[in-house]
Amino acid sequence: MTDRLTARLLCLFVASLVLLAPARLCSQGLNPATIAQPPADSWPSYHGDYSGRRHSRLTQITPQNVGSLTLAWAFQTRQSAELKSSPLLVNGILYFTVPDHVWAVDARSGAQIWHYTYPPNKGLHIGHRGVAMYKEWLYFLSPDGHLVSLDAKDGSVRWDVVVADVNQGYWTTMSPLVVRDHVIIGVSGDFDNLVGYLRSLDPVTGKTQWQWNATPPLGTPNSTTGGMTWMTGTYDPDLKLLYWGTGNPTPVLNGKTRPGDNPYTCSIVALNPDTGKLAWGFSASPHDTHDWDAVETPVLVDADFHGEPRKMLMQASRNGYFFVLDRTNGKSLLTVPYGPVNWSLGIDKDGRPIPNPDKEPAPDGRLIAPDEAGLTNYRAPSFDPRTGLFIVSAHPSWSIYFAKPADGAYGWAGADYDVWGKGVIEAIDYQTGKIRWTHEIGDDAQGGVLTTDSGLVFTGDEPGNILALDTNNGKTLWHAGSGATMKSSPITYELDGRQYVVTGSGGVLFAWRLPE
Amino acid sequence: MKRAHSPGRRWSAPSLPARHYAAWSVLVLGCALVAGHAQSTAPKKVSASQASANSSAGKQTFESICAPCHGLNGRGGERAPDIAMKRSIVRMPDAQLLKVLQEGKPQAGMPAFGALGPEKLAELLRYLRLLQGKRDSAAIVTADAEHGKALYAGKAGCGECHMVNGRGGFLGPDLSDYGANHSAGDIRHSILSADSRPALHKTLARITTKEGQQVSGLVRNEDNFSLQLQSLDGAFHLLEKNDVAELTWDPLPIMPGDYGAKLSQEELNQLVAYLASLTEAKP
Repeated sequence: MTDRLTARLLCLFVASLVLLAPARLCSQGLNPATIAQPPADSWPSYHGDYSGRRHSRLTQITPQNVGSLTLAWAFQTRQSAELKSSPLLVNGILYFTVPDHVWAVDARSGAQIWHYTYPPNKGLHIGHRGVAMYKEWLYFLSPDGHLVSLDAKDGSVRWDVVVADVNQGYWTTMSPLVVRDHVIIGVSGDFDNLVGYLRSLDPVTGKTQWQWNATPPLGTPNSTTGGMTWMTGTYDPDLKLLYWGTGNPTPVLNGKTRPGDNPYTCSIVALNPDTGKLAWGFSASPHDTHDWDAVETPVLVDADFHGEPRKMLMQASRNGYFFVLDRTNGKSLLTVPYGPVNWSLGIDKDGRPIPNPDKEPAPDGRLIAPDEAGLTNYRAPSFDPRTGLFIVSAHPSWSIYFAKPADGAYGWAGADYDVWGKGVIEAIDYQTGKIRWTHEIGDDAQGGVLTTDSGLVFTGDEPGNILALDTNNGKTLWHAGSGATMKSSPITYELDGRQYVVTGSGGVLFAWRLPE
Repeated sequence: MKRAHSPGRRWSAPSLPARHYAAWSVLVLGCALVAGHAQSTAPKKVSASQASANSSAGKQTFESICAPCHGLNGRGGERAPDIAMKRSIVRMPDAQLLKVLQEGKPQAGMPAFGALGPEKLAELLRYLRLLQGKRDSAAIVTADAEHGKALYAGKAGCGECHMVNGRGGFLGPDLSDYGANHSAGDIRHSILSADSRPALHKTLARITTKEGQQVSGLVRNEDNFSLQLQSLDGAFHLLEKNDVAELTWDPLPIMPGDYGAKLSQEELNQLVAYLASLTEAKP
């Protein structure tokens, strides 16, 4: 109660300042049209814009001066959960999350404006990717499958609707995507045999507008379940298509009860955002038996491909393959592994990997590359249009997969054990899939990637250093120890003529800028 | 950064401190310092059949509710931590561990399992203790642990590098409660096969700085930018890799690999019995 009162008083105070200093506006909402063309002083959606490129046009911080980058402020969440979210920046205020918590923080000073806590609940608290915003409202998914709309001014609850049934085994972690007057949410849950779906809700009322199911209804014979939609998709306003990656089929490691390709699990799908109707689907891992979700960012790029102008979609997928698709129709342009992959028999005529039945989990174990966490995962990649490099935080790795009859055909249905892995930042030439440079980051890879027009890559290494690399060659230009492995993806923005880079590791959000 | 392996540039004379030579000579010469302890501890025995009867029901429960997140062997996965090897969990008293099982860890995503009831929870705990290595170590070690203790401090030279309850060296891991987490078989294997699986951070690193300073010791921590080295006199050397001209590693770990030849079978059993008896750190 006291916190709420403090927050309201603070906002009143800030509001009174507005009269004196119009340049320092308190939150006054977000026009959804600006998500497509975000100004430099904003980061209004999970990926920063609809393309998912995580590439910024900002150039104040350069390869020449990044060596003097210094801390502007640090914000302690004081929670045991690690930051795995990307903040939004709207009207000078950052909004970010860990499971059950949302903060609004002054992007110039790191001072807390308000803190919202969701009540204790039994949903899986595995991680949280952040909020979405529409006009004056924020949208937060709780671990137990509620979509909560908060007032961005003070964090008070406007409404709370159930979007996934925690009792069936769903949970929710993702940052919703706002497209015009749709709030699009995805769901998680592969410890049970459940149908994955995307749902669109009315941003004002919270009413369901449409739902698209990734897999057939429960109980359909010889059919799969799964296809969770736990990462934020992308959107092409011109083609009016929503692009989304779907997760693995269930039972996870036992494919015997679900013969065939198991559409649309481990797929990239294109949907109409107004109706939820499927335009096309591409199976990145037909008949997956290794938990390799294809939920990684479907990055949208307009550029030449082998001399022809193309509207492309690129994904570095958890299964170890880098895909380039024509996003108008879902046809494959390029499929190539970007690290050790030993589970396929090659690529079919449609550019889809052909799973090797001998590499399915077995009672006596199968040595598989990559491991269950995959060659990459939820951490964001970045596309740098200057160099044509798709830069991804990769995890070359091996593991052993088991499945025996006693493991059954429900939920996980097997076991897997990591054998070895390491972390490498890889720069992939999207025209050929060739890796132009690599940069080793330790025993594992966890942090996302941001590129800027000045030729910088921001990311993190396993021991906990925040890194600035040269986009041309991957050489380190700056680093700072943060005390914990970065498990979130960096963002950047410019306020009052100064460029900030914001990174989160452990429970701390750090803002970096050049000295005055 | 790639580790330098250029034999041609290695130093001719390693700068080992005198204390280290002394420690080595103790091992190499095998000074017969076996103290004449007359009293031997009474061998502890646990019925193997009793242990397995308790655990089979717990195994079933573990594999159906714990294994999906913690792995079949409890050593963790992407969704949940290692509960078989992690020291903080292995050291937890039964009552505390039971409380976690009953109430879960909602913030970390672990559900409560109180609904299983006290009997099933007790079975589960017994099985988890088995996975943690607290199994039949006492049952198969009947050798004289007091003699083992003397070997540890004397002929075997373990105490030169390993500490037990505040006494001993600092190079190797503290063994004060080593027996609590390791079976007799594991302990014997560790003593006999130190050099069969050399780990970089258990071998001696030799560094030449760009200013020509030479230092050798164990690398306690390392990333792409820096290196924290402890030399054999205990001093820490906090180095930036930019300042390092060369870094080489000894091919074998510091822990001697010839205990099989240095100690008789009986002595080895006594040493294992002593280490297995170290189940609780005494402050």
